Amino acid sequence: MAEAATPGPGGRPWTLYRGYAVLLLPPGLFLAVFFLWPLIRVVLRSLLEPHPGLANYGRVFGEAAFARALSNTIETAGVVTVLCLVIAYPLAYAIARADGRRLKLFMIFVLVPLWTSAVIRSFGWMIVFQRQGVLNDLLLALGITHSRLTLLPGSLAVHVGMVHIMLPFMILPLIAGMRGIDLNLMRAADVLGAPPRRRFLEIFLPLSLPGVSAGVALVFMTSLGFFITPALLGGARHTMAAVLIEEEANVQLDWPLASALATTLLIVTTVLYLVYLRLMRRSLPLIGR
Amino acid sequence: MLDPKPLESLADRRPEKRAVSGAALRLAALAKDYGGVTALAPTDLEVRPGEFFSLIGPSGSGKSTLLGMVAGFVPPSAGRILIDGADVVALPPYRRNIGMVFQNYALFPHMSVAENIAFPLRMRKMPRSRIEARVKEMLETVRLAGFAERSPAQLSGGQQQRVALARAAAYDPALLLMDEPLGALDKNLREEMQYEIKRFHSKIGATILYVTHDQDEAATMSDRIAILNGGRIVQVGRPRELYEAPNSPFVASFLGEANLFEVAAVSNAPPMRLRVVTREGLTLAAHQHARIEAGVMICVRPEAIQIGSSGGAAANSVEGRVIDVVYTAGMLRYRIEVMGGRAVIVRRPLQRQVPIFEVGSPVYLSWDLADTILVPNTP
Ligand SMILES: Nc1ncnc2c1ncn2[C@@H]1O[C@H](COP(=O)(O)OP(=O)(O)OP(=O)(O)O)[C@@H](O)[C@H]1O
Ligand SMILES: [Mg+2]
Repeated sequence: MAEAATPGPGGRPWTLYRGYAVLLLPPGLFLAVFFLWPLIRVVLRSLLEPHPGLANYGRVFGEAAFARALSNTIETAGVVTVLCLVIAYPLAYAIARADGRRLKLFMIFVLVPLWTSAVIRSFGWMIVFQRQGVLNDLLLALGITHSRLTLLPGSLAVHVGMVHIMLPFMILPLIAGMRGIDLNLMRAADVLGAPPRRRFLEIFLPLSLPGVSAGVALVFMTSLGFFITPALLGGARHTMAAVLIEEEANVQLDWPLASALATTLLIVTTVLYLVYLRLMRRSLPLIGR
Repeated sequence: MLDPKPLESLADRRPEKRAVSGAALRLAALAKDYGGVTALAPTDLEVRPGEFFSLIGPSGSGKSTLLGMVAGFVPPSAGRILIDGADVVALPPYRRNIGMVFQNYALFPHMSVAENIAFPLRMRKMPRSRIEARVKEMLETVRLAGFAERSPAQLSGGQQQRVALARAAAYDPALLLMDEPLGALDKNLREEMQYEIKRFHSKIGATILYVTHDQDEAATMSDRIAILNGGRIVQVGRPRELYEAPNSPFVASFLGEANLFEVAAVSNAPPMRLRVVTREGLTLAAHQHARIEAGVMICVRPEAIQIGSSGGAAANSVEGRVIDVVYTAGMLRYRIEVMGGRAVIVRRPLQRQVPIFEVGSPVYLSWDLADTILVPNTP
């Protein structure tokens, strides 16, 4: 018996996770074939076609329309992220404190919009924002405006439509983060003499930042690549990168240029994310895990 | 298990100098219901200024509920909480000026040790220079100078505990609540911290309301103890009183070990003695008791019983046979089978000259008249 327990020469110590790496194989293969390889081809095409060189990138950074679309993309993603955060934080705060049936009900309210596709919801916003739309009717009826406004296409419509779609992706990580905050810490702060406002600002808010950080990253990164909503609600002046890429690829049939645009967006996104990670690691040294 | 030793409570050593005078705490018919479930039945309690007062009781007996109501984060269903005569029920916790140490310490993970201790001082708008001085002083009091800039996650359990203590006492609250502050520590550290807290208590002088389910700990540290069971205080008294005169079999067996015997018959036996026959048929002698009209039980403490190979001249002498014997730190713990198949527990200090009785050997158990304790047979 005792002999069986002694490890043989060169035997690796047993760990709980031994062998689990095999589970990574199917998704790994899948991603390599259907994601990594096409991505590499996109990058290669941007550099090699129609002639090897950086000509495609010259156009991306040289033509004002492309540069404007890129900065517009970052700006829109930023505005949408901030709006989502401002709306989601109090909501998540209220939901995180509920429990039992109320929590389930709230969670359903958060998740239900995800059941409808972004296309349909963006069409819905077209009906709201168009010249003969619901919003203009309402503004006129209330006497707030005296003539119909042209809201479509426009950045307001894009922002509203995108916030609508991204909101759950901000709320969910916020709730997860907030529910992880030990209630005893709030009680302790209370007993130690902190009135509600101080308790929130000095204990709850800082401890909720990891959740905020996750939500902000998720919403911002996803927004950078948004297509349907800006395509339907934003006009030529409010083009975002993904719309432009689609146009170059499917309308102009200039695949090398589309590839260069896509690669640029990928690099911008990655750089922004790395900068963000650094900032977060610096500002959350004690909580960040 | 309660050794006789802790009965000389640390509380008996009077303090040198005290920083604040403790508050008087009075609970009047204080009660808590959780949707029909009674967590605390209407309870009256008086804790004296500067007292170290412990609440003990089994899990779910309402200790934390009582403490939570005093702290203010559990709203009472009924009753009043008076601190130095003023009813605080309507005040939120942050306006009660009470100190509290939580079982899991509840240190703020995003603040350093110094910031944790400074937190209540900042809330009280103390000037910065005074906060710094005070934090330094508190860190020295709990022997953690040099740890100021660490984060709580970088401290051991005992060190976190001391930070929690320093934080709770930094603003000189006149009443300090502690909910199983040592529950998460191992035995050695727990004993060290018991002394630390007592030392702390005599230094700061606040009234301490202390919750534990460790009766040894309560007996070691407390001036007085309240024993809770099923949401009710069943007995209040000094540790020694509770140990020597429990008012119910529950208290007798909760505080220390107890051999409890049901009584079949009681009669007077001169001079001034009681002759008690137990359900098993043992005949025991006790002091004449003032009130025995209610049903009583007999409690004999395992430490009070002598064990020998022949019956002596003691007031009580019972024949038996050793079932088993266990060695614990400095102690021998026998189980002895007596008349009626009943097992009696005996604890003797382990000394070189004391003979050890082997399993199966016939022995005589004996104890003094005063050690046959009559316990009212209330549930
Ligand atoms: N929030 C709550 N909702 C419903 N019932 C509760 C709640 N808190 C406590 N109780 C109940 O009240 C009773 C007393 O609980 P309490 O926490 O005061 O016990 P305790 O003496 O502190 O126990 P322990 O030693 O396990 O900490 C228990 O029956 C418990 O189930
Ligand atoms: Mg408790």
